[in-house]
This record gives sequence, structure tokens and C-alpha cells, in this order.
Amino acid sequence: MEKLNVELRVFVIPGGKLQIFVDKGTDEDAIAATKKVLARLKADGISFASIGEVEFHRDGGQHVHVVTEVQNEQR
Amino acid sequence: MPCNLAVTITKAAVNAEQLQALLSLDVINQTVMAYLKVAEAYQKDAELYMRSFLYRTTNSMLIYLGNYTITIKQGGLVTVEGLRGEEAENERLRDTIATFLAQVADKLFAAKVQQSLVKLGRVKSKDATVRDEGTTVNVTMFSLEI
Repeated sequence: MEKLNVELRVFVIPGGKLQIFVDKGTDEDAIAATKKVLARLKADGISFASIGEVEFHRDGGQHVHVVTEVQNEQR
Repeated sequence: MPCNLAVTITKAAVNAEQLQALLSLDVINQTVMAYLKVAEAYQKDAELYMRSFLYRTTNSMLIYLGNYTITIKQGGLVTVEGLRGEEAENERLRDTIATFLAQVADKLFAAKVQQSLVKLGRVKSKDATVRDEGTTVNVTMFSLEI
């Protein structure tokens, strides 16, 4: 599997919503990583009713902002 | 990590049916009675809880809880029948259970996402509170490097 060296976060929001943040990497790698995540989820049976465009964060736009976070036990 | 370091953001959503599909009768059976046992309204009347019992049909659970008959269909649709004239209390109980089941579905969906993401790399999981479109919501956040 090709390694992209991209750090990302996936937020699972109540009501079946996801937001995928790519935190580090080039624009091209960020797009590739996002597509890879979505393809993986689809392959595992998650079918999306909607998938938005990959938004470049420098363009602004609405998205979640973390207020607090608590580490979960590693499984 | 502050969001101003993000390179890209992509939003996606599944439809309600996909979440409802996670609420099988087994899941409902395992979670709802445990929830009712600790729910504020029923802790005050332990006898009510002790007199409760479950009946399972092909596609629904029937819970007899004191004066209430609670029907929960596979997928999480809840109806409550109680004493005549106490419709507000019936609705409150219905909404309480429906909200709880929606939270169960959200947790199961997050677990499904995690099971998929671990195939791409090591995943760290956090419970987080975020601001989303002006409201504060509890979310599950997965971090990974791919």
C-alpha cells in the first residue's frame, strides 16, 4: 500500500455525518488521502448519501472546531 | 491541533436508514432495558422496573413497564402507550428512549468507521466536543497517518 505521509482526522458527528480533515501534506496528497479514506469506508459497506467537494481550508467554509477532547482507550 | 493548520476538509453523510440498520433487535434488547434501569424517571420507582418484562416479535420489542407498553421496532422507531390522560408523559418517555437509541446508533456507526480506518493505519480515538454550525456537539475523533 502506497504511503502518503499524510496526517488526518476523521470526525464522526451525530446523525451519520463525517468530516475528514487532512492536517499535514501537500494539496495533492491531501486529496489522495481523502479519496483513500472514502474508498476504504465504501469498501467496508458504508454508503454515503452525500460527499462534498474537497475544500481547501485556506478558502474558508464551515466546519467543526474542537472545543475539548479526551483520549479513548486504545483498541 | 488547531484547524488553521488543516490542508483540506471534506464533509460526507450517510442516510438515516444506514444508522437505523445498526439498531437490530439484539442491540435494542441489550441496551434499552439497561438504560431504563438507570434512567432518572424509573430509578425513583424501582418496583416499576422490577415489574417490567420484554417480549420479542419478528421485528419489534415489546416492553411492559408498569403502566406503559413500549414498542420499539427494528431500526429504532419507538411508540409508547400509557394511561389515558398522560399523553405528555408517554411522549416524554418515547422521546427519551428515541434519543438514547439515536446515541447508540451514533456510537455503533463510529465503531464501524473505526473498524474500517484501522485497515489504513494505526488509529487513535478521542471523544471530543466541537462547535458545529453554532451548536456544541459531542463527536468521536479518529487520528491516523496514511
